[in-house]
Amino acid sequence: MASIRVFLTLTLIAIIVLVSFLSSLRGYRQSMVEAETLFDMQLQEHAKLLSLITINRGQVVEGLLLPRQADAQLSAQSLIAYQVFNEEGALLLRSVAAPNTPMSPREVGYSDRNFNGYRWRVLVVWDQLDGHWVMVAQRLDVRYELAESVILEAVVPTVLGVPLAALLIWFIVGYGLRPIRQLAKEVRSREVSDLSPVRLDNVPRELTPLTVSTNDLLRRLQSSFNREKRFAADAAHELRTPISILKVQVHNLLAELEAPNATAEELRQGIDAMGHLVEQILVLNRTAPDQYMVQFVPVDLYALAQEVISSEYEQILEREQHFDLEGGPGLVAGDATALRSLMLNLIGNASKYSPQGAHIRMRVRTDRKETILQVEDSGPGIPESYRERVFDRFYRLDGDRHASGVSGSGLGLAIVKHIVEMHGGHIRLSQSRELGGLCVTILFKPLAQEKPEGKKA
Amino acid sequence: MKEILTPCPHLHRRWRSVLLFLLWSIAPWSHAQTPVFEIEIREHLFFPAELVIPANQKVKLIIYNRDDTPEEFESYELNREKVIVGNSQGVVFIGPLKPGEYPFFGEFNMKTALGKIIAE
Amino acid sequence: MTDAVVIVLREVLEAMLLICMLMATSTAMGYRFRWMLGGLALGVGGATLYALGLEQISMAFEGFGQEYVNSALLVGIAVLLATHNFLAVFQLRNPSVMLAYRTLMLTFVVMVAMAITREGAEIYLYAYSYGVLAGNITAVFSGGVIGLGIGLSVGTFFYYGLRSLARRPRLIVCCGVSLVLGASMMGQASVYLSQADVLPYQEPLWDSSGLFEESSLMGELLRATLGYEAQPTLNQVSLYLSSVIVSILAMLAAWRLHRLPEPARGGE
Repeated sequence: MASIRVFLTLTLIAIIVLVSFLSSLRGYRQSMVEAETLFDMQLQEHAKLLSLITINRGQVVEGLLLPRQADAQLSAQSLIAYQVFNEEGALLLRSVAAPNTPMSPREVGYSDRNFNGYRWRVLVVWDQLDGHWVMVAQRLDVRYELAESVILEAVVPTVLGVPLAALLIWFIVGYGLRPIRQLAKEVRSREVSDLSPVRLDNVPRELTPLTVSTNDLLRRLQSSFNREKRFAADAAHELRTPISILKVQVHNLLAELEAPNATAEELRQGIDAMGHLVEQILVLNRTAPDQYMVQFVPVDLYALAQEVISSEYEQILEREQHFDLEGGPGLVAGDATALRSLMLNLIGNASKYSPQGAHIRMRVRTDRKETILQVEDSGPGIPESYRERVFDRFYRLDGDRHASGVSGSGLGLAIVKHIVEMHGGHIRLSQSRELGGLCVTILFKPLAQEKPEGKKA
Repeated sequence: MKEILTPCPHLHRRWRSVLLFLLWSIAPWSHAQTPVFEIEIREHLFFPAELVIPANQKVKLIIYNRDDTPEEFESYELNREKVIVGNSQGVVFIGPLKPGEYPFFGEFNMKTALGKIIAE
Repeated sequence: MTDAVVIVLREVLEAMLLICMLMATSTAMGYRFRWMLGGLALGVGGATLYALGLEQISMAFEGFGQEYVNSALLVGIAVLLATHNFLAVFQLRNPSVMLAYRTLMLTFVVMVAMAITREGAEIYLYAYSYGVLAGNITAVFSGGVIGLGIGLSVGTFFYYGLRSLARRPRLIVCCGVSLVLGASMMGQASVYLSQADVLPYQEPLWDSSGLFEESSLMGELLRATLGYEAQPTLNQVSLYLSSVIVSILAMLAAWRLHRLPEPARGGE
């Protein structure tokens, strides 16, 4: 059963068709039999009348004969033909439509005969009183057509009604199956991280077990997710203090050592990297879209970018890289801290993974539909097949042996994606057309034009 | 069919015998010397409506359709079924029949086109 | 109107049995119904051509063109039904092998087209002569719709009945249906061939019209499904049985083919 809707529609229509068509077929047959009887009775009436007319042997009583006009009319329509013979078989009387030869052998009763180029229903009556054979005939095709045209009037509506019923069944079945479609849509359309219970109005009884068990599953999933997330955040938070202590102690150690010591310097760098990682984990958790509960304020991305660049300028200078900021004010509704984090990560990445003397360009642009933040570099870029995976947590291109030989947490782009999603934006990775390296394009919903004065949070 | 059946030698033999059987049944019968009878269809009626033919002898029946509309000559008893286009004719072989009555009808006009063959 | 019902129903029922059986087979083999469109289109075209060219066809072969064409179509369908059984059994034996799509398509398309050509021509002729030319449009229309409706409805239940079976039993039942349909086609072909005097006249072997009159509803139903004949001749019975035997041999061949080194060739 590929589709419940198709199955139900087809079988329901089939049942309706079978029942209604078979019953109207039966009705038709029954009515035809009734009509036959009626016509036969009509023939009998005619025969009786003719017997009355020809009371005297061989002598037709004048005046009792059918009016000429009526006779002619009946004959013209070829509805009725009659003959009266005497005992010896001589024709006494006949209608215009009747032949000169007997329409039927002299056998009392009904029979079907061919004459005059038609098939007739013939009634032969033996009038014992006068010794007459009375034969009355009616054209079978006319009888049949008359009866059928009347009966068909009753059949045709059924025949025409069935397509209408079919159409209605299709829609009604579709309507009846709507809760299933809604449930499927509700489950399909939700975000990956959205584990809130499925809510449907008027869940039908048949679907209740499904929604209940689905929601139960979602709840269990949610709580285990929460545990995991809290654990990571708590662990990171708990690690902050010992790391700070370690930092201080390393600082002291370095101060105590007179000569510069390579091992101690590496130790310092290691502890710094660990601190950075823990901070990143904290940012990541704080900015997870389902975690974030903050009132957005208008933020100018351009102004924010200027601020971030000035704080990061040291690193860029150190690597002799060129940095441009282009564009103009780009207002979005957002969280300034999170957006700063986003820019830090983007600029940090661009600088870190591009070689010495590379070119980095940041652009802020607003058009009617969106505010665009774009960061391009002339570094190695990311091959197309990896562009989805780099957003995964702790995923690093080429594992830890990154081509650039730079260490990193593998969380940067995951954080960026979190923040973009939190702001309802879209992120796209591509190859920079002008600089040749990676091009990160982020589309934000622009802030409504009515409030241009809200510059920055 | 042939390609598919090649792996099975039984089928080859079987088909050959069926073919031989068909050929055998076609060969010895000649169409000569069979008496010819005619029936006409006019206004969806058979003329004659009752046709007498010799019993125990094969008969060639030519059916002329004088109407403009096609008609299907059909008989359960004779096991015959043939469409005759309007203003045209059709041939069927019947018999040898045992003496008796064999009704036939025109399937497209079953109410009026009725008749029977009487084998004597 | 009842005549129209009977004529249309008889033809539609026969075509529906074949088509629904093929539909069930193709679902069991994992194919969609794309072949049906081609079969229907070719069939309708064929039926129209057949009906329009009936006069020329009738005149051909000393006035027995109709009989030859009809029996050729019937024998063709019977042969293809045996092919169908061969392929179905092959599929049963090698469930993992996807049969050559083109072979299957061609078999099905040609079968449906041939069946509809034959059945459709008869309906077309009847509807055109009795309905349009004789002016009984309402009667023929109502009767035709009723016959078509009943035929399609029965076919729907038949199809979903087959669909309710699991894949293997579905294929087995389809083979059985195809066996009977093929035999019934051969039985009908023998009637045409004896009408054209290709097969000799024979005394009926038995007369079961006392049990089921051929013109009765039950008789028509049995005729459409099993190829029932109240007074069959030896020719008819032997062709009927030979079709059954050929079909069974085809299935046995497919069953044995499994042991051949290259089983995939069976589907080609």
